[in-house]
Amino acid sequence: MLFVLPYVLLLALFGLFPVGYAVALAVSTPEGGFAGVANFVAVITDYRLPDSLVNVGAYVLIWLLALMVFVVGLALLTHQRFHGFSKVARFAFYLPGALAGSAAVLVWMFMLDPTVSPAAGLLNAVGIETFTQSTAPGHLALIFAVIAFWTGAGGWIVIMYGALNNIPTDLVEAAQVDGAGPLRIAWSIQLPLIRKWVAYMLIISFATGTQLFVEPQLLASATFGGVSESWSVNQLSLIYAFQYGDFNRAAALNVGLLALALIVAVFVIGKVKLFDTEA
Amino acid sequence: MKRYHRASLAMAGKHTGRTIAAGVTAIAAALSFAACASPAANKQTATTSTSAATQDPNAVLTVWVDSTRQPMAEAYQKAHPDVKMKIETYDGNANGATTLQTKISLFNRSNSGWPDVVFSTQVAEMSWLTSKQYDFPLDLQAAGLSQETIDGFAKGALAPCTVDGKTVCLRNDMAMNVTWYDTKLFKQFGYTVPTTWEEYGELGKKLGTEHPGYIIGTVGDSWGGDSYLWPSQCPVNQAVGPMHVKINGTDPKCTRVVEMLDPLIKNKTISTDTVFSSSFAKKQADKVLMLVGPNWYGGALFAKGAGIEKPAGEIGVGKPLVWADGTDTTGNVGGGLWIVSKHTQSTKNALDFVTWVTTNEDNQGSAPGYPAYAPAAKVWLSKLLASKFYANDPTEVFTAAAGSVWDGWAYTSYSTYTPWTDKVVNKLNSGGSLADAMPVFTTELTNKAKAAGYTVDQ
Repeated sequence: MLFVLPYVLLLALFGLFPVGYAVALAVSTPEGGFAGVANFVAVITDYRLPDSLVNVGAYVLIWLLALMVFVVGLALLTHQRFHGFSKVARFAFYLPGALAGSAAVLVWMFMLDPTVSPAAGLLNAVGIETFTQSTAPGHLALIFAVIAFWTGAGGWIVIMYGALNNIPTDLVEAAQVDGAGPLRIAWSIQLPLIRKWVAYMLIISFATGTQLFVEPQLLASATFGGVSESWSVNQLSLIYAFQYGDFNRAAALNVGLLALALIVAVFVIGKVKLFDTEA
Repeated sequence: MKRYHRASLAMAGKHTGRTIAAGVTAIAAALSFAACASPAANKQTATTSTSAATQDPNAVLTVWVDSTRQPMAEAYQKAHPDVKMKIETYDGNANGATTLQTKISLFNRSNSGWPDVVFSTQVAEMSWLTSKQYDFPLDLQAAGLSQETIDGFAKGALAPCTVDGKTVCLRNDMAMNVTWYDTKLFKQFGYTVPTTWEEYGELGKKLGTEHPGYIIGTVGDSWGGDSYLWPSQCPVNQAVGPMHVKINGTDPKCTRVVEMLDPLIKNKTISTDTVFSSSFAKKQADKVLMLVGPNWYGGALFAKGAGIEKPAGEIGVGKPLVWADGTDTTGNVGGGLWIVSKHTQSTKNALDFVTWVTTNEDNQGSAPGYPAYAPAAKVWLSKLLASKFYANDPTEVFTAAAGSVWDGWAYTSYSTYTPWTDKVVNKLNSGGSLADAMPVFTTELTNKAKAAGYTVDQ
């Protein structure tokens, strides 16, 4: 129990207390009175929210699909190859994740600017000549998903690799004896046995995905507003908090995001029976 | 085994008990913080416009500057070694950063920590800084600023600093629009530099057929509206009163600009790229026949080491273009402000600092931007002339332009720049015309204004 205490303390101070404070702010007026659902109504009817939701929705969809398919696929691939190569591969996959979010965006800003990018040829080939064209509104969900995948996938691949290591080798050997190829083994044995890990990845990634902030905010700054300063919901929350000084409405928006992530988490946990201790 | 097991259970039980007790105290402590910092703590106490803080002769004068203005603060310290100062650099609240909003609301909440003097790069800063929620600037005249000093500033320079008839900041520099032209190219092509917007439109049409690839301007900067709509007195961002604007893009003063620009955008003599992008520097650098832009383009774009640097003697500066119907106002893109906090404990020093830094001829004479204080501007211009960088004498051009900025444009708490890039430039880049983009632009401006609490007339 003592081991858990530091975590509980930090959870209380930096997790539960801020959430409680945010909920309190969300149902209060700036003067401190009770506002009921007024803040939520005001925020839901904001003219920027529909676009932000669509943007974040598109981004989360692309990103979660990429995670599910590529992370699991790459983990399986790495696991089935020779040991030496898999160590190098895991290191290579993990490396971009060592960059802090904003540093990663800066790297990608260079990649996306045809004038300085090493991939200029590729960009020019699809008709992109300027940075403004690169960051046109239609490309953004994909760009952010690529950036997030590049930084985040590595960590998850390492985790999936660990999950795959948990599968008893005699199961896989038995299947091989029965004549199953690597694809069949992956599909019928490994995937079902790591489904809890995949579900965990989904829950965490959904929560962080809906809270997308650094990437669109940095690009909005770099393009002087070419990328909308309210592209994501969290950016809109920032506008409420620091441009209008309205912390109550900002809190309402974020409480909404939290509720959404919780609903999805509960649904996935239920579906996959994440916390059941029998295998 | 059993005894160990029971003992360890007992130990675990004791540990659990202790753990629970510790956990509960921690949560209780956390919740007590909640009581202190309750939502009600946000309430502002009304302050008067004179300094509400007791004066302290030994107080350190804390000055926040951006890196470009840091030399000015250091020059003041050097000239006044007896004044105890602390100079801190920050981002100048530039480019959409909400540093001042964040920091000042934090200081207001904790009731301490305000800097005495702040420099901001945002000319529209007073639109929110003087609101009840932030209530930051000091009434400088009430604190002792002389009318003589105020009168020394260029006409309209202190307009963004005047709220409710009070002077609440001092303008550091002007950013009025002028025309920039390449004398070498004009000579090469045999053109004359236009003096009216109508001539400008004709030049663009001619240029597009005779020398495609060359440009006479760009709308791709976020301040494109300031450069083209403001001079025309287009009421797409017209000041009506505090928190009250008029947004109408269908007025003839707006449509004449759109009609003039659209053919030029189409034949690419007006670029849709921003002057500070790497693609502009790479592709357009030698193809700039003309530009319409603020006076700080000189140092930021054409000077040695800048984005599209030109050799001395090649770039000429022309008076702002005028419309045939007599509209001879120009636009403005920026200009920094010096603000004194109303919580300062050294009002005399703070006021002395902002006065010195804006009016001292040595200081402003070598500043990067055109000084807002007229006598200092004269010194600045004579130095500019002596540097022999421009093909012609810029003195009369800059002085005339400084006094002709249209005062009907609103300085708003919401950005008029991000809607231009987001709605207009993006649309132009995807093949639309300015005529298509204007309604989207005005709708976005209207929404933004209303969301920020403004009343909007159509």
